[in-house]
Amino acid sequence: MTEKKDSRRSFLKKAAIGTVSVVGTAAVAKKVVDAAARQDAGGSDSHYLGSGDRSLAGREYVEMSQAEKSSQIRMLTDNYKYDTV
Amino acid sequence: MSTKDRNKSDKKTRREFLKDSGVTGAAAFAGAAALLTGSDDAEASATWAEHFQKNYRLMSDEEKKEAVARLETRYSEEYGKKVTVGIEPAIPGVLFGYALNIQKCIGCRRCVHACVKENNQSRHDENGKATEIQWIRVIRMEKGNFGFDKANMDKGYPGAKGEEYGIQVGGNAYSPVGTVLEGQHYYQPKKVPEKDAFYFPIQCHQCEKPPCVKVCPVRTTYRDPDGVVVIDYNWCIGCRMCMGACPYWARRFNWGKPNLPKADMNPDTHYMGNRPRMKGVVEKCHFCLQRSRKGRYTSCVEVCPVGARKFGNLLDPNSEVRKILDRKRVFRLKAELNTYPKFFYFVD
Repeated sequence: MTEKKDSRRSFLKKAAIGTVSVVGTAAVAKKVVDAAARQDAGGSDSHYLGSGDRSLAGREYVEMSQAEKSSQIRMLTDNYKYDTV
Repeated sequence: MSTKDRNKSDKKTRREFLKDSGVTGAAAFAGAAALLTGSDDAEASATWAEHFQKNYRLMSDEEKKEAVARLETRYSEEYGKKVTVGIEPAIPGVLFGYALNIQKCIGCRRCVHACVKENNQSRHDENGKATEIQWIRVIRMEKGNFGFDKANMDKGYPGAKGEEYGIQVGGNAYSPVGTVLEGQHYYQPKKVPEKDAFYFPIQCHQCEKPPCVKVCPVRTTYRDPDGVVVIDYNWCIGCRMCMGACPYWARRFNWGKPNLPKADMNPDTHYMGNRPRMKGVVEKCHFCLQRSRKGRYTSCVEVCPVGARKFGNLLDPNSEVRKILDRKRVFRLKAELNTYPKFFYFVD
């Protein structure tokens, strides 16, 4: 006769308990890790968006100076003359 | 059955082999004949010939004439009216430039719709199979998001104080310059202009150093001598690299067969401009080549009810656009990208 601890029933029981515990541990671990990551991502995101918004709000259209205009026209004229593009 | 007999029955006889070959050969010949001569309608013959058409820049004058004749026949048949396809080259001594007064623009979008009509763009389909392609995008922006910052103009690169040469881009790493484009594209007010908004029309800027041209793998898009960036639609492979490269969102892709009703088709076309496009190619504003190369204004300039749009020759010091550059407060969109757009925005 087989010993109780070596029986098929006992093996299946151990296997089931083992599986449940591994899956349970993995699920808890995932929850914890995800929660931590989300919090972190949220924080960095908001920080990023905040600074992005600030920088966008700070953007302004820059008027061309007279020198810049002349330089642009000179460049366009030269490109046309010498086909340098 | 012996092995020898079985092998013999598996193999084809010479008669059977010749019979099969004959049938296959006849079918192939019939198919090729049908492709080459079976259809004599204009679209089929033009499409067939277009497969073997060279890139426009490599065509001889004779080949250009043939291509134009094919297209004119096809379009005339397809749209039931006499259609002309022009191949007017750039006018010598002309470099097109555009200036837009954003103080005057009232956001009515008449330019958008005039452009659609003039340039044979795809229209909305009642069945929802086609959407309208618009080359001009008008963005509504809140007042207060806009201003010139002269104080920072000498703080950018490459020029510092005392160095007047070069293209001044302004701004610096901590205070970047450029444009804020987070306006509304699809505003639908009851009445324009709205009290708390200004409007920012955007279209192809015909860059002097166009990023779209640099990325085109088949060189189907290029800058003509008059500064207009054109597209040879027949050589476009629809990869949309140019769309990704364009910083001004100026290019549009024909996802489906364009819906261009016969009655709405503008028969005055240009090969590089407003001739009807096909599915799978990219298109964009070309300063109405069919008009501008004949000395006319573009349709958006003509239709603008407040005269906010100006167009002319940048090489001519007496042209409207040069006078604006000389005398008005001018800025460019995304100047920091060094694409050197020939589309300027100005205020009085």
